[in-house]
Amino acid sequence: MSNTSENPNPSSSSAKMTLKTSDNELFEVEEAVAMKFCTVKQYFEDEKDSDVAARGSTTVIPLPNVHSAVLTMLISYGKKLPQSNAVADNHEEEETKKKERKKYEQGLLKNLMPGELLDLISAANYLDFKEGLEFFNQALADHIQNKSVEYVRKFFGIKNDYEPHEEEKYREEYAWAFEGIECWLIGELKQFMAKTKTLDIAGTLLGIKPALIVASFSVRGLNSLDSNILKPEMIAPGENILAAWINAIGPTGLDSNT
Amino acid sequence: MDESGLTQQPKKQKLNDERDVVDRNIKYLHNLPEEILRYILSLLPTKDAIRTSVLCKRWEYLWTSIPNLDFKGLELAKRKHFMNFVERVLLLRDSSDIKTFTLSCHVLRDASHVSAWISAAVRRNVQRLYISLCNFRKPFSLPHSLFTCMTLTELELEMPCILKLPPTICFTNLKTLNFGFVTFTKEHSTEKLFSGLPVLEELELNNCYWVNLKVVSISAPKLLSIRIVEDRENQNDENGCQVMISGVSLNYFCYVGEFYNEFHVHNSPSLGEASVLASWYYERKKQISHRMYMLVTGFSSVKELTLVFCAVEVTD
Repeated sequence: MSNTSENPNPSSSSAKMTLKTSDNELFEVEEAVAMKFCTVKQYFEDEKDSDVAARGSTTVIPLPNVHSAVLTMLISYGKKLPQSNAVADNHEEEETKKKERKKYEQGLLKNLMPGELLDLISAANYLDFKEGLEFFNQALADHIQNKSVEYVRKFFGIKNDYEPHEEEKYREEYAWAFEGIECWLIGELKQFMAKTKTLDIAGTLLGIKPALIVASFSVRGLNSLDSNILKPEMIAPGENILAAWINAIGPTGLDSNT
Repeated sequence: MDESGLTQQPKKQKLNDERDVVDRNIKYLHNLPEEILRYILSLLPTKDAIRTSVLCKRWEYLWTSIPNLDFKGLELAKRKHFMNFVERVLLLRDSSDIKTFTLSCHVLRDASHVSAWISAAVRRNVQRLYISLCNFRKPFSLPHSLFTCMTLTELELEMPCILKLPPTICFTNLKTLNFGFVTFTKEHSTEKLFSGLPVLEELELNNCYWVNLKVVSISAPKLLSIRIVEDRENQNDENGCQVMISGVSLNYFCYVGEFYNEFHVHNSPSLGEASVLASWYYERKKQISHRMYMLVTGFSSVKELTLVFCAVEVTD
């Protein structure tokens, strides 16, 4: 049974590189991880060829297109990837590592804001970080799948420059692809309508256990007109109710609303 | 145009804050280069990728190089929209290679259209082709170019109709072949088909009919696994056909069905694993058990043999 906690090459794992982000933050990264960023790798190799290596000082590699918040995430993702110089694990260990990575990936995506995803892709592209690009691009594709055109426009910050009749023409031609995908506004409206409910009088039900409890914020006490009637005079189930109205009179009581 | 704020060295602290706001706005779409957008589109299902043409003018033709096309339109009610969609997409798609092409539809009277679509995929050097057609109201034939496609590595053909084969058949790179409900006939060079598969590794024959054929020989030097299913009722030929299978590299054989045809495996010294699952009904009991016996006794080198049958009486 191999001992995977020990690093067989202690000297190479401690080699670190310094990366400087657009907001002037310095990151010390293990060489193995930094080398996954091919832009960095290229820079490093170019530096080696020049006289800088002879000077012996650690070079700071500038990344003017990458913000520190983004780099943190990319480095963290890079660390979780199988290292190219690691000892080959047996099948079991590989499976465990795979599962761990999947869990990490899911956690990472859950907490990600859509805008951050675009930043990550942009940075991964600049750094030529192939595994990162593949992963984040797939995450982006998964995110915009099945979403309406309006949603995707908003997501990418795209301004619609089609004339209405041009857009309509496309929607008709590709009608089959638009089946089941609703206009964003309609989707929102449907969600709103789903929250509107209608109540009918069903009669008096006895023997319901446990007995229903009136919400604490409902008014109690005597009816102001007839003290034989206790408030609430009429109740219905539900808590976050905005307004209730009978069909005969619209919500605003105006004639135009009936 | 200088994508300001991202490549200039920060000068003063005050400017940084301003730049942050600009950064945030620029961070949207236009910062992602076209190759990335095309790559993302290639990860989306076909429908979603093509919907992006409506986003804005910049996206109008961005999708035209997506390598995988998936057209599954089996709902008859939406057929007109589906057919229009496929026509339009194939018309606009650029000439870059197609990796995977999936087509699943009712043919009805549009045999020529469907054939043209398959032809379009072949012209673009398709590698994996999955075709599932049904409902033929007119005789249907596949384009001849399909049978000489040099780039094809996987072909799955589910077509309950007669397979009309052209005079020239040359699948130089085909590794996986799967026929479903296809009818093979003598008149149409079936023999040529099954001896023209130089690199074939996997073959599956699912409820295929052999009409007017007495003997068919399937021989492929690199064939590793073969699977034959015959579990649908077959009214065609009382005695069926004799299918002789041979493959120097063959190491897995699987049969599931009612032995409407005879199968023999010979010249296959590497055959290590075989599985035969025979089901039967009373009228054909004798024929089935006899055929199964012939098949099984022909396995000379099999190390792992799985036999499943309801009841077999072995007679002399």
